[in-house]
Amino acid sequence: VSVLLGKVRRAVDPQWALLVCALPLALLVFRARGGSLAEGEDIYVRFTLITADQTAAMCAAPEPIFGRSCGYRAPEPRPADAAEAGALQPFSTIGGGLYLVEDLFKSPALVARVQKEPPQGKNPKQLKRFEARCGLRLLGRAKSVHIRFGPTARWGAAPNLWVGVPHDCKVIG
Amino acid sequence: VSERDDRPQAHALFCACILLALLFGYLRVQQLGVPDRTTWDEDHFVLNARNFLAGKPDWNDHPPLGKLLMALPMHALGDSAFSFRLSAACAGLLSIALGFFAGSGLFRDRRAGALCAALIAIDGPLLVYSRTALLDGVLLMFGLACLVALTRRPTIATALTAGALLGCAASIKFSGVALLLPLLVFVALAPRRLERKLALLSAAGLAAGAVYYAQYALGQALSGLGTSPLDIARASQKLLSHHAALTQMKHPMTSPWYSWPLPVEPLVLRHQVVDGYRVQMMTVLDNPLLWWGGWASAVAAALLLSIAAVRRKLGGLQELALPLSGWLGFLLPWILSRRDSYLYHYIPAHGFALVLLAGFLFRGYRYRPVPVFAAFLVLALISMFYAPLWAELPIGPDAINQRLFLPIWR
Repeated sequence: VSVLLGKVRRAVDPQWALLVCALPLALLVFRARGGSLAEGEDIYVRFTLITADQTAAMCAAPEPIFGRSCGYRAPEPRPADAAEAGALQPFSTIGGGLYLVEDLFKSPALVARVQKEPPQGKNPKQLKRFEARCGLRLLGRAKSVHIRFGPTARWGAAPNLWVGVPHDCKVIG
Repeated sequence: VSERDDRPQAHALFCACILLALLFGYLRVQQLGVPDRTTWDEDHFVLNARNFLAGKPDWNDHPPLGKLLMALPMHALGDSAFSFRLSAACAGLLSIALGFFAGSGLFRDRRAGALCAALIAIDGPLLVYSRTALLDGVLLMFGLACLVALTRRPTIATALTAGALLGCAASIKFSGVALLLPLLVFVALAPRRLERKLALLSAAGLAAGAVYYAQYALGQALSGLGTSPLDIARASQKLLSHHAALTQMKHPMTSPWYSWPLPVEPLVLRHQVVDGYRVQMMTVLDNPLLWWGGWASAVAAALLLSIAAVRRKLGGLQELALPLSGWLGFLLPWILSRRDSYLYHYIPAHGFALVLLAGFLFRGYRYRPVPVFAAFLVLALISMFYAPLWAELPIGPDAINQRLFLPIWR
């Protein structure tokens, strides 16, 4: 065996061997950048929030989406307190992603965070921004919804948003 | 190492370098016209390239050449994101080729040239600055061209060429005058009498001045402004005074030079969410091994040359003097002045640091080819890992965090 190995060693330039080994590795590391999302996938997200988002972040859709409703049936100028009790709300992640999330502010960590800094009667600009790190089980995409971030903000169309159910949320900040 | 031993060793090395140059060359130009609007500081240069084409004055605070080079494809191909980024992309591709000639010329071996070209190709900030209508990549291209010229024999023709390229660099940004330092080193090391050395310096100075005047006069003429030497001197003086007053360091992206080795403030030039989850981003954060390897090489070269200079025995280290002086030339203004500084100001110096790194790798490769080749491949693999963050390929948040592993980079 040692004679054979010696012959192989002499016949094969080790640098070529290194290069040949490096090529598939290069392909692997180049592709290691995370695929696109799929229904049923469980991802990890970092929402960036203030406690006022509990009532300020609203969506509007005429029909339930995956059995869950938005606060509004249509984009209309009614204030947030007139909104129907809806389970879905739009929230942004630190990376700039946008999701429709079910009952995010009902998770215990966020309930505690709202109790610590209640938004009522405060200017939203004075509220401290915090991060909610959650698992998010994806249900699918909402074809067409309208969203707004503030009781008097303008509605904007948001096609193809991912809809998800949060779990295991932790609050940072 | 005998010539016979070199050949099989060099084939694998050349093959790897060519593959890397092709792949990273492609990444420089793919989707060059996306996004179809200006981003980051592109506005400053693109709007003024348009001003030149429309016969209006240039209000940017750099000399005209960078914007004139941008205006050329905009005039020929029409005003589009592809055409206004084309000059930067060409400069990025040319820098790879110039890296080969700089490495080959300095270290007297084509294997060193191949290593140098490959390191320039796989470097992140240099790739990023090939994909944006900004000036620092073009500035580095002229710097490398000047370095290539300075690897030639010390003749008047060489001095004229190097001087003209110095003039081009200083016409992109005033910091291009940094190339005066390698030019002085070149003249000092030239085995010539004092009168001959002065003649070389004068020729270089004349060529630099002529190029600077010519491009500035062209810019002024296109804008309908005066083109006399006095007009150019006044316009240049105005720009210099403007820069001299920028010392507040109040912009949130500013970073002092001593924060650059980490770096503390890596700039994100573009960031866009695609498919609701993945991100297309472009950051100046480099492959950490290349970045830190560049700094280590420059510091090591400075130490080695200082020790050799004290002993009055430069010997084989002479080849390090030119790239080291280029690195120092581009870095020193930010150390010595209080001018507002940003991480991208280091990019031209970083190009010279990569030439030094290639020189050290080549020295190692001559004596221990297999381990050094393996180390080079590791460098390349890490760049492949980081490439999506430079070439705006869609990438998930987790994958971004793996690459930006220090919290201050996120």
